[in-house]
Amino acid sequence: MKEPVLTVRNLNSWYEEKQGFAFGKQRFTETKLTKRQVLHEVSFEMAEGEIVGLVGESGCGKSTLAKTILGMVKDKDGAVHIASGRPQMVFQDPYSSLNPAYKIGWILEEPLRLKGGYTKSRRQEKVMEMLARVGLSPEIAERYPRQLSGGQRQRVCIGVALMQQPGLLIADEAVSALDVTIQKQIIDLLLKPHEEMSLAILFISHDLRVVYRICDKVLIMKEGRIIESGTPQEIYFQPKEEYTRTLLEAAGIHIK
Amino acid sequence: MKKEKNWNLIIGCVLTGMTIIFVLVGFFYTPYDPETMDVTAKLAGVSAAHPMGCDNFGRDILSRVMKGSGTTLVVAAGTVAIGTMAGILIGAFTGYYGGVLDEVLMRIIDALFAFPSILLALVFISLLGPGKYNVIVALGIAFIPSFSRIVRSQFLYQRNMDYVSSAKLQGASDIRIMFVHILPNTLSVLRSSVMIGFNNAVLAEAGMSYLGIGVQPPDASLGRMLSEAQSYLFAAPGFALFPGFVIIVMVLGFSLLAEGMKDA
Repeated sequence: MKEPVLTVRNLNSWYEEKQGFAFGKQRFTETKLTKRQVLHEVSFEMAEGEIVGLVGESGCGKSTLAKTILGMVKDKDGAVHIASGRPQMVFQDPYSSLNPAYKIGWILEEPLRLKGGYTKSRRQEKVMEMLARVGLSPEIAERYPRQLSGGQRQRVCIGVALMQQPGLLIADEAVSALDVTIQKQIIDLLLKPHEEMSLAILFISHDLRVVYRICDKVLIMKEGRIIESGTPQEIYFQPKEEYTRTLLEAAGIHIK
Repeated sequence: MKKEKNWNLIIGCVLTGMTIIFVLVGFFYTPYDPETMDVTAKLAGVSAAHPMGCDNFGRDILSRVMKGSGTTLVVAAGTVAIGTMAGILIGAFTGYYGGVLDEVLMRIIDALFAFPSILLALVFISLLGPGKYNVIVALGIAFIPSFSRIVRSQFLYQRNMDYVSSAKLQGASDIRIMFVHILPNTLSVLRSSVMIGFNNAVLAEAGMSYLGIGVQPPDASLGRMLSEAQSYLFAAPGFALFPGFVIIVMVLGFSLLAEGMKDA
């Protein structure tokens, strides 16, 4: 049994809703805060090198789960344990996840600069290696994010995420904003480091077909709870929950 | 697609360039000593010897305008520098962290905002006393609220971008995120407000010197000269016209430059 890279135990999280009246961007009077619970007692484990699919309709808390795991949600209780290194994330929108003020070379270099312990020339070598790994030509380093296509940007984002050699990568709808042919390329690109450095991937998606193809395990989420989990075969061919069945049918996957 | 010529930028550059050359020459060379009085040339009109005429003490107006624009420009630049620096600091921290710090600082800024900046500067001048450097400090403080507002709104918007989350995940410190990651993305907005702020500062300095609480005699500044000229408006129109004209060129140049940079 491999040691889990990610252990999530009884995770709850809350979102603060601001009440009070607003006029445009200006808030008036002191706002009253009401808490809304987003995640309810979420527990699961991810083994090293495992790809776990997280599926559910929009608004069910998938992204919140990702953010909570990464420590970006303060209001939470329960335990999140990450075995090795800093977890990284590939975001849905490749347009806002790269800093528009810097060239791609700088953006790819930043994770190494932050990690420390590399000379400038070593960092630049690594940037070039990474560009090659994510299938981009070296001259891309001299371009700004706005000069790249969506697919190219997502490649850069994956490069940035892999720079610090994480053990866990969260891909939050990482391919949803791209068109179908590019989607496949990007997914293949995600699978490569998965095989090479046994990177565990939490693959958040609403595309059930892709999830079936690449995942070792699938979690079905509804209203902040994980209602069903299992291998793709179990989930897709013998769904226990009515909700899972509905999801599958909505995606046009019919169980015979 | 043919790119249309950016006339704002071109004319702005020319006017600003002219002003700067004029001021730079004034630092090293003026036709006459701007403070030497010549009783015989009192309120002299435009002539070959005095291209802009002389003032009520017989001082050469061209020389005084050259020195005065320099003073005005230095005061405006100092003002904007103070306003921008403090504005960036306050705006970055309040916009990025939000919460109590934001609420407290922004309420103070709101209170400062309630006063017109010239009135605010007046208050500081009455505390500090008049003089060139005090004018810079007073106007600089008066300019902080508007700059911090602008920077804050930019930081509020940028802090939710995914690239900021990405930097956090890589382990960047808050300070690094604020000043290395976010700040460069606010520069385009900041640049035009610096330009506009610069204009306001030129006008504010002129206004304060005109009121007699800015630059003190015998130092020349454009506003100071306008103030001295008003009693001689009919006797020597050039006395008021030339400094006024330089203010117009200066402000127009920077406005067009700011406008043009927005489109560029």
